[in-house]
Amino acid sequence: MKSSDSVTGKRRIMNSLVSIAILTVQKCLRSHIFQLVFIVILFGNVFLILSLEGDGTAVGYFQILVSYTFSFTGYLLAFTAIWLGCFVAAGDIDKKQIQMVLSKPVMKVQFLLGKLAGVCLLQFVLLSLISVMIGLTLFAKLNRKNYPDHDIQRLRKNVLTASRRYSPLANTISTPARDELEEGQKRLIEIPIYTFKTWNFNKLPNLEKNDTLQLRYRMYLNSPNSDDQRSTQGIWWINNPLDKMYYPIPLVVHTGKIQEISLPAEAVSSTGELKIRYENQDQGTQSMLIPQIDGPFIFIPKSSFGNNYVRMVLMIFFKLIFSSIIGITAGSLFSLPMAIFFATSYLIIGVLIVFMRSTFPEISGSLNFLSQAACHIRMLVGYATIDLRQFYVTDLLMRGEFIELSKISIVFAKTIMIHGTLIFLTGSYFFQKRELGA
Amino acid sequence: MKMTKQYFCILCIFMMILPGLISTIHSKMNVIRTQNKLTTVEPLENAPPMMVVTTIMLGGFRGLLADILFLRLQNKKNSENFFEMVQLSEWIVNLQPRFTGAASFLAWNMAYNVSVVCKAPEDRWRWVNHGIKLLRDNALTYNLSDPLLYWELGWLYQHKIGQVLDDANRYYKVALAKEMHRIIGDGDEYFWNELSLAPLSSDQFLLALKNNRSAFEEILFKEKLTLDQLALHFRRDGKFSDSVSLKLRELNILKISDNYFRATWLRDEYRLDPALVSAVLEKYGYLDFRLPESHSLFWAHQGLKLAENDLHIKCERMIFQSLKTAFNSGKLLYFDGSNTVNTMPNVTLCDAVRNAYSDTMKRHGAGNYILSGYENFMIDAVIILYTFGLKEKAEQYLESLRDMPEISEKSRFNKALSAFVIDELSKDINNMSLENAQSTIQALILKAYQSICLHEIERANGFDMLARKVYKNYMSKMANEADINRRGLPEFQHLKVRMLQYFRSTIPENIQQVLDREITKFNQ
Repeated sequence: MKSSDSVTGKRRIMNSLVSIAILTVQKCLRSHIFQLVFIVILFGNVFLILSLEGDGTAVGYFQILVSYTFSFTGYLLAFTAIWLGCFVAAGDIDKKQIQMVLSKPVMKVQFLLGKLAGVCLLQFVLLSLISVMIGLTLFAKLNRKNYPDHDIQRLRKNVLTASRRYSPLANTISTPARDELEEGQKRLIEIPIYTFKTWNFNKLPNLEKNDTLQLRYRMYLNSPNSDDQRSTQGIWWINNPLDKMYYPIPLVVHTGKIQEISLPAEAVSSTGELKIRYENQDQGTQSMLIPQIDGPFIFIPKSSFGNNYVRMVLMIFFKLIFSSIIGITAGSLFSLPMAIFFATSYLIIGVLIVFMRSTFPEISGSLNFLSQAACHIRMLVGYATIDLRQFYVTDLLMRGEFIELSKISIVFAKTIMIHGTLIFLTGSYFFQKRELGA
Repeated sequence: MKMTKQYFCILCIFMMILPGLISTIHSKMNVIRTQNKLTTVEPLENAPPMMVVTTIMLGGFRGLLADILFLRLQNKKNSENFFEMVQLSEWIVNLQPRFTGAASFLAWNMAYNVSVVCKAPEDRWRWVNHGIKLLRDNALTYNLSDPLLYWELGWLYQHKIGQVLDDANRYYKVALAKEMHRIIGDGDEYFWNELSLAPLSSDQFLLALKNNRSAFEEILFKEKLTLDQLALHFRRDGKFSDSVSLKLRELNILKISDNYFRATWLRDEYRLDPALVSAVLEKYGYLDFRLPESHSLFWAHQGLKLAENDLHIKCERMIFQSLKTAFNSGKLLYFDGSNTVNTMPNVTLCDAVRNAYSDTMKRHGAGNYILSGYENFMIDAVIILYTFGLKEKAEQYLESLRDMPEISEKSRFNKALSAFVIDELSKDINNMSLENAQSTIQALILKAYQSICLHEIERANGFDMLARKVYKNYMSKMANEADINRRGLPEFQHLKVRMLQYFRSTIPENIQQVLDREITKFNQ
């Protein structure tokens, strides 16, 4: 009997949540600002698709279209999420409609959760529709553009494949290459003239004989910040696991530019290991510098473009959930204009605080009192806010890089599970305390 | 509710009338603006609707937006996201159409900075082309009276494509030659005068067809094409389809149609107005527009009409330098594949080059660089004219050198013509530019063929050996494969075959028979 009561209670809670969510969706759809923003998103995307031309290549066209349309859609939908969150929560409170809801056996938290679910549901539907529209239009436009075959091949190989990135093992620096250097925040590896540096990779997947893997890297002369870059000669030596010999690939490349070369699948041992080394043969007898963030990395095709596309859309959806949480929380605590001001300020501060990092990177004894205080404030605000650009993974999709589930999970856990829940619970607590009868 | 509807209707009517009213007032305002010199710039003309809307809507904020786009462009360039650069550059130019300095910088950035980081020559060429298009198709549209843009455009042709500094310069030359070849064909000389007389618009073209207009429209109807679609097909194939061509020939309107479509193509896509090209050719002599120096000269000539002070000198400098290049290597013999372009001197231009130098010196004084450039040209001219058999002209040029009061080292020229040429050649042989080496070798090969026609086989062998020596000497200076690709000569045998073809086309049939008979002895 007790368990039957509990089930009925849970069902009642769910029913009330669903009812509030449906009412919220209806209210959102009736909002003129929402309608206006939706029309702006639709027409904006149509305008972008019609007017963007790219750099004349299929890859360039694809990249600019994906980048611009999803940035535009993502940020406008995030604005809509904030607006709707504030509008449905603060609007109900300001117009006293909340009292009708709370006169029923509904808790204030349930009210907020229902509102959040409604806004998120609407955002999800909108985002899905727009993503499908962009995806279909993109491929239709690509077909109509009649790019040459080699261009389309390049697009298929470099962008329309989701390749997983493998980093070299740490502590595999071999002599005679000199130790790593530090330049600002970047760790650099220096390869003096006529010396080489070896990198080992492991846990690479088993590949078919005809498969290829891509080696991606970027090297510099003098410094990564220097504009004085030029062509250089060098040799990549690839280890053959069968005879343990290194085989050369001589190259002339332009420093400061990302380079990509294809390696045969046979270079990977049966245990998934790969050894490569670079020998510096620069004609100007200068050292080469490779920042660790610039590789070398190995890329191996992992999944389809569609899979990657869905993952990118999912990340945008997380951004919308987070924006909705901020909007609902602000709306539950303040009047509509104040709530919008608060929510947008919170997100803008989250973005701007990132730029303070270069000015106040770390606390050290050499800083004066004011700088130390600024540093502390920067760190504190950094913990309390979220940079919306964390959700931006479109560049990975454009480069054909696989969007790892681990990355998605970390962003989800950090932003929504920790930050979002904390903000929502704090808001709910103050909302419980808030006197709504006045 | 009823009231709201009435208000709505009134608003709609008002909104419909408003643009008409604004248009009238706007035109008047523009006239007042120009007459009273209220602003420093002229009102925009020829701007597309989208640009007019953004210009008016954004007002003063256009500058701010352009700044943001500029920062993004620099940021994207540093992070190697080049795919946005063309779009951003276009937007910046459209937002600030009068800021020609920005357009020049953006074009230079794409043509020089971005192109060199690309490995494949076709990618490099795409970026050089983007730079050219930004200046020619965007910036120039709104700033037809800005000489700087003409000069910058000419510089891209003269320096980026024409010089041998870029590893992919040969690819650029071949790509340009291929593009222009599709429009102006492969004849030794193209009749620009005929093109300049072609109708300027579709209406004029249809009027020019006179009685054949309805027959022409019937052809379009049968082919299921509009005039614009026919133009697109013409540009795609470089000619009319066989069926259209046959019907136009039957009506005797093939020539006028062909001229109209080619002239429109040149004007629309390359901004080369045949009338202006004709004027340039009339002034300087025949130039092959498949070669970059002809383009640089054309654009410098357009800039010169508007330029003042320093820019005037720069335009004049570009003109005499381009003419000099055209004199040294302005006759296109052939181009092939993606990397082979072979030229020979266009000796008919020698007086034009000389006049261009003289005119500049008269106007701006004989500064050191102009005088030394002139002296070098005159020496080259004497050698080339002599080696190409124009001894009288060469003698005349040498005489002029001797008479030049500004030249200090006169003893160098106080020799007999042949002694002077041999001395200069032996001096130059170790320090020859690509153009000089090529023209010298070609001249020696020509001499060899001329000797064959005169049954002087031994003399021909002598010239041939000398040509081989110059060739070997020049090629021995090549440091590596990349150097050969950048400024190397084609294979010697290749040069000989091409010169033989050229020589055969210049001699009468009976001499050709002698040549064919004697050449076997020569080859032995």
